[in-house]
Amino acid sequence: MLFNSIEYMLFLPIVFILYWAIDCIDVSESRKVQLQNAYIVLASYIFYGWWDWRFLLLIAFTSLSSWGSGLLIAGARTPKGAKLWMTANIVLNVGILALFKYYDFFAAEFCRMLSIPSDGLLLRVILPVGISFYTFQALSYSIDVYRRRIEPTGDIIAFFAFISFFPQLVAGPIERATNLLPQFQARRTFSYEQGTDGLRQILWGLFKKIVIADTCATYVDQVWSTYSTQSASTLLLAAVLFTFQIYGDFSGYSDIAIGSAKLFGIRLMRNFNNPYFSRDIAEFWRRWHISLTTWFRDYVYIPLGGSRPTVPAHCRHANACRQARIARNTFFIFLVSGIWHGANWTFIAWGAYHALLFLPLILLGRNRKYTNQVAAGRILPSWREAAQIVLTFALVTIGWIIFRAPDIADAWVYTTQICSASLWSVPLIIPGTKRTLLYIGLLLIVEWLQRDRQHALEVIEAGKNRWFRVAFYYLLIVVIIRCAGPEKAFIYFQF
Amino acid sequence: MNRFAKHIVIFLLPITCVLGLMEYGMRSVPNDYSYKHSRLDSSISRIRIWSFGSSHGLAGIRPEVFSLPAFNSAHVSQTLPYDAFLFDKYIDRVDALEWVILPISYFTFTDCLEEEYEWWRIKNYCLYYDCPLHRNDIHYRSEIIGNPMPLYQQVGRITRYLISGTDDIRCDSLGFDLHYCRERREPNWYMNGEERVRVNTKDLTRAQHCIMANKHSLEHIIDACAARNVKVLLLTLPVCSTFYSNVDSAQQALVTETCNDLADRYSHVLYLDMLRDERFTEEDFFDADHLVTSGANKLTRILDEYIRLHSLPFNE
Repeated sequence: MLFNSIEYMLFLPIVFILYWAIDCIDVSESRKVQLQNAYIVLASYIFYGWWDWRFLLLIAFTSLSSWGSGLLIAGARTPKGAKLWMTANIVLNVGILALFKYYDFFAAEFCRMLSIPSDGLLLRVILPVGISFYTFQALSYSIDVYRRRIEPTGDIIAFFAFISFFPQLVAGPIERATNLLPQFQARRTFSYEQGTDGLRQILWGLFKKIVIADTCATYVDQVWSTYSTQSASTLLLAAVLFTFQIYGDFSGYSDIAIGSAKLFGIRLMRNFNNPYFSRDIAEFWRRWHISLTTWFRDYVYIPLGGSRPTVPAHCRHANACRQARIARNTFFIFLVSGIWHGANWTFIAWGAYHALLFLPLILLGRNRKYTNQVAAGRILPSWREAAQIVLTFALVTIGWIIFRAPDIADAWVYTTQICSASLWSVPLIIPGTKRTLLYIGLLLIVEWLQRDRQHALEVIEAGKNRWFRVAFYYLLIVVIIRCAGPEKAFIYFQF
Repeated sequence: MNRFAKHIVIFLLPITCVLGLMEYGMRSVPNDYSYKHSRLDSSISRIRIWSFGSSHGLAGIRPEVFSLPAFNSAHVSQTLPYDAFLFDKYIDRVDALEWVILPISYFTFTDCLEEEYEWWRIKNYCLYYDCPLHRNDIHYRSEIIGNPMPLYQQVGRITRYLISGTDDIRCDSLGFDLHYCRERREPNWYMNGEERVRVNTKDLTRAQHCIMANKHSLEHIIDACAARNVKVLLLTLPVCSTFYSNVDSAQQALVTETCNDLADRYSHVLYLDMLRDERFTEEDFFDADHLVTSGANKLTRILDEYIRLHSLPFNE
């Protein structure tokens, strides 16, 4: 079931009403929590099963194995035993992920390398929607239990609700057990402010998905399907529009997920923080897909030594050794992040490209230069900040060309073709392109003005500018209805 | 919770009412689809020549020029599956039918309406012909959602219809589009061929599913015609030299080879390829690949003669 579908528009209110109706049943508070959690699991399985019910077994298995491993880790008599259970759970879940997502790719590449036919070796299985998301969420639980950051839970229903919570099941944010699980173990109460804030965030998410991402997609898809015959200016415009498409698509999904969760009294972590207003690549990565970036940071990068690796005693040039290890860790984390997105060389190249951009910053110790909001306390950025934002945006856009390309050769040809004399010609304009650019302008203005808020429609003072706000919401609804085409799946579903 | 529910209802009520009224208003304004539907309903039993297709057929085949009663069921961007839908919907009522004309253009096999930027036209089949395709998709079941016209223009259209009765019908009573006339022609009308070809050229490998679906629909019509002793004329309409000199040879070969193959395989199928027909000059065109009204008259006279020559029963 897609968030931008009519089914979800009916599903959400029905689930919402029944969920809070449970809260009115005359039973003990703990019983209410249990019933609500069981109901969340049921609703989430219906939500997921709407796409393909066969893979419900996979989610149930992942949930069960992680829940069981949590208890086994905590019950282990020795640290070695605990580590063994954690490793077993990681191997099991990563193994399932690898089988569904990467096996065919690596088998085909291996056969290609040896020039042998691959047909007999390939499994050709369908990739279950959201498998990378819920697998990572499940893994974080067993690792956190092992690290004693969280107590294992015996409440299997709450744990199943934590893994399968429908708003974030298929495309995140990838939640941590430390944040989400306690919320499923405590009583939830409905708050008017939280509910309306959730609806506002859903509205903005739908705007980003339907109005920005889907309208950009029309142009981008058309240009990419015939890119070899297009002018450089058209290719550049398509690259910029894809930059907004993927942002609108994914951050729109996250906004709808977070907003939907708020309706159930659940707070999910923030996943995007105005990434295109970043002043360098390091800041971009602190603001883009935050839940995945912090996941890799906490569970892969830091265990590898992160930016403060231990230098072996035998190393003569300690500083050079340290720098080399930082470079290794950085490259590794970006390559893993790239391949997390899918089994294709383009994703690996995209990760390597970002590693190359990130590396100078971390080696020079400038990766945390910009941790505050850009132009804080001012309406407009300085010229220097504006130039930094534009440059970072341009670098990110080049990365998205690699990401979007069917293969590396296409990415190369596309990029080199942009650097030709036709860059100064008038780009191809198809019906709706000008309107799309207008909507992007609206997106940038609203997100810029609201950049210090949790989301673009967050309201701090409820009474202020009420009529203006209501009129703006109506405008958004009308624009969303007008732009609603045939449902387009979210890009990140494939990951 | 009560406050929350109350505020949602108060917020949604005005916009729901306004959009509901607009939807009703938009559906009330007569258009080509609703008009052709009503015309077909009333005169279908008399039709002896029935043509389909996209804007090429819509602008190129003029039923009133035929010496037999004819009707043009083409619509802009109409693909073969929608030709087949219209054919199936009325075929049992077209008792006198002798000929079906199916314009096969450069893009006929490679286009899927669902994937084109004119996808929104599907709603016209759903709303005005009660098409069962996409029955559960609201985007194809609503004028205000599906129509690309800006909302203020939709309001203008409804208002004009209510005040002065101005409708949105562009075709005559036999389904021929009167919009493609000389007065509306743009300067250098014949020069946009290269651009028109570029927009309509597809990667044949990626378009395989469209090619399969279109061929399937075409063969479905051909089989149904065979069962009713109706002849099928596959027709590639004339285009300007700026168009045919730029076509992708593989995509054009797909058209000619498929049509020739069908004409060879079925005795009741004929293929007439007029793509480069020299009887048509620049003056006969509205733009690079659409005929102007006088060009349509010329083409239809040629077709009329052709049909007369080939009107012997196909098994003789």
